[in-house]
Amino acid sequence: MTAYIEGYVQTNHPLSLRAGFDSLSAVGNLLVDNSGDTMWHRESQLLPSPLRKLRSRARKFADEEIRPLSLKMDLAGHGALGDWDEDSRNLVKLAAKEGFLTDLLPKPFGSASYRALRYLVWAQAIKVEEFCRACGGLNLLLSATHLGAFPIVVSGDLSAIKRFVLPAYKKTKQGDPSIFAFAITEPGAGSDVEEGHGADQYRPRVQAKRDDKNEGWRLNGRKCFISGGDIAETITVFAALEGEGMDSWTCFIVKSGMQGFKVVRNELKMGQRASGASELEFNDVFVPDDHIVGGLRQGWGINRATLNMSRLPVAAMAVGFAQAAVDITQQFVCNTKLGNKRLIDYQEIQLKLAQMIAETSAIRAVLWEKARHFKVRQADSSLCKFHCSDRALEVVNMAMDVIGGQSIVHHNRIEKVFRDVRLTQIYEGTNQINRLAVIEDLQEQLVAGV
Amino acid sequence: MLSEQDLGLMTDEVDRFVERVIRPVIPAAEHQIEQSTVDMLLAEADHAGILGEGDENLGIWGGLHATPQFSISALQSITKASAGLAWIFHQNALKRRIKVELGVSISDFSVSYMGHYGIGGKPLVSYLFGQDKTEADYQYLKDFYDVENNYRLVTGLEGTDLIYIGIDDTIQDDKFNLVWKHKACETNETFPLKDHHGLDDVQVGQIKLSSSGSNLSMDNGLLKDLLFFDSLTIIAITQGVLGVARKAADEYSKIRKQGGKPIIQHAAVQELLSTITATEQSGQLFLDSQAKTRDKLKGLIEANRWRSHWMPQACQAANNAMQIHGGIGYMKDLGIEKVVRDCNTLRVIHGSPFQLALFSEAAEQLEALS
Repeated sequence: MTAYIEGYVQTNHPLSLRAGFDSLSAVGNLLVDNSGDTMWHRESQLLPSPLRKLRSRARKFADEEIRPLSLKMDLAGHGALGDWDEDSRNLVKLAAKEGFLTDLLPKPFGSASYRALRYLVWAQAIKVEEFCRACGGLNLLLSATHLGAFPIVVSGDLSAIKRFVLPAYKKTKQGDPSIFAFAITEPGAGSDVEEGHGADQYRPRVQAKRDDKNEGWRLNGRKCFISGGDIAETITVFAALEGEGMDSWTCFIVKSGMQGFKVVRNELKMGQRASGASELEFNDVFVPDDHIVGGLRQGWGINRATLNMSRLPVAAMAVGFAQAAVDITQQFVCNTKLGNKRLIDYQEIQLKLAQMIAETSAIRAVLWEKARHFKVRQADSSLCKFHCSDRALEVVNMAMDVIGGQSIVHHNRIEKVFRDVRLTQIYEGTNQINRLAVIEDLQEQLVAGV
Repeated sequence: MLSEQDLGLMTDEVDRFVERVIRPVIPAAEHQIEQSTVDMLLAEADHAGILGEGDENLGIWGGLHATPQFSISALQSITKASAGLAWIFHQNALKRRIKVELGVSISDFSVSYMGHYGIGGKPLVSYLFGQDKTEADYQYLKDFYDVENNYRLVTGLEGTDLIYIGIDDTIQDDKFNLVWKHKACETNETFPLKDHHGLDDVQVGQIKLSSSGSNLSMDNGLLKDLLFFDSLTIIAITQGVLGVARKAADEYSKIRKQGGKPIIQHAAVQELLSTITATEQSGQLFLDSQAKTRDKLKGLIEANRWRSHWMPQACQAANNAMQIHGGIGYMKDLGIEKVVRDCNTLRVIHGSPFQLALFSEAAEQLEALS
């Protein structure tokens, strides 16, 4: 392939960028990067050492293990309930052995290094972006378990962490994945369970009734769109106490083998299809008192804290999809010829590609800036979530425009990226709810500023 | 020319046809329509005069007395049942026209008149304007229409016979021409697609020929007509799809509650709904403006310019409809996600927005020069 693009002087030309910079003085060379390093490498240099290593490791795993399964699993989905595709199951086992499913906790309990733990959410964002660059559905299959385990971790309930997270992590690290799922959404109520004003008006449908005789609670109702709900062994279920409102929300641990628990069905989704979105039924499921996380009526805060943490990884997914779109487009325009020249040799293509690269770089920058804080703020996580996902969709649209009619062909991958990225504008609160979440968090300072 | 009254009667007839004949036999939105069902519907449409052949034919993209007006409203009406089927009706109408104009005797064939990438750019504009073509134009179009080394996308792939546009192999006196060709394809030359992004209720495929077909005749302005009809159809079907999306979003937003009130009472949803309606209405205004167009080249340029500007907005409107539905909108059984995929597909087939913009601008400049 020609190393230079039409419309530009060759790299060895005296008027080229490279030749011009080469002629600079030592001071000039100090200030100007003329290495020609890839943007990926240049961005990696900004990362703290443990995250730089994680980024390389995640990319290698994504390229070697995730991408080869991507198209197949997109079409296969999860099939019938309980019929878990062998390749997909093996991928989860492999990721478990690599420590990608247990990195919410440090070694020896989990698999995160103590140094990386300082950047807990940033590390998740780095990993998720690389995984989504390869496949959104398989990323969700591997990542939703963190969402399920996080309420237990964030509750700080050491007893619950010891009894539910540590044994599951131990099993997982041995190559026998024990998956968690996070169950908040109820039929007809997605946004109400994600913001305070809506929750105040909402009458929760999944309710917990006291069973004094057996010292526990009976759960009844349904949860829907639960990522990984079909393969989870442990589900953090948020339910109101009988006769009370959302302020009584409590986080209960439900094990998949409990009597009365049933996975009703998996949804047939537009994208991210390698991971199931399940409807779960609780029919008088008995949950003992010691399966309550963080105490009675503590669920709302735990839920909000969990969403606070999970919205940044959703933003990271969007960045990963945007990067996938850039990569796919780059491949296409370098390998497709029209009128005896490559598409990349046309100025209109260069303009589109430059815009895509800029948008992707910009959303990664805002994500890293917000994710680097150890303590996550709602305004930061929400603005990242809606802005990154909105802009990523535009990048994918641009990619489809450039690839043109060929973009509708499944094996050309970009149409799948569109279907995958589209979900990031919806889950973890629609982007409209997330915009309002920014204002909710900043309301004191906004009003005080008048 | 049809009177307004006749046109109204014909349009009502199509609406009845959609309700009585099409809707009862097509599957739910997410399933491909069997070819036998498509064949039956096309035969019924022929019987009802919605499709026809020859100069006196008043059906979709009909003969001497037809204007785009009826075709646009008929295709919009069919879109309410199935966007893919509307595209098939459009393609079938074009095939009938090709058959008559080229004097083709076969009845079942696929047709391909777009190249392997884009919309032909300035070289095709020059050709359509009858301007002098350069060696570079020749090389560009030769590659654009090279179906032996590139895959071409074909919507409504059916049968083994293919009628397609190629380029005449020789330049004589610095002139070259596009030529219609026929090929009875081998099985290794047509590739039906599975799981394509949108319009997936009907068959889409790719072709790549191992050898050239036989020449039928030089193009004598037929291509220009087809491209014009294509552009209007793409806008008409998209506009019809948006009508379906707006209705669904409107109904859902009145039922679904958030924060103790129907979501239609929230500003966030009102804004999304408003943009869907505005986009739908603006599409209709453009189609109305084109309804009586006779100058097909001028119409093609205007339609391509409009598509370039409007299709991204239409895709945004479709996405807004999905956003209003939230999680349920992302699930296949509701049909809204198909609206999004159909709009995306209509945005990129036969030219994506920036390609259409460049095409129209090239035409503007040529017109100014001439």
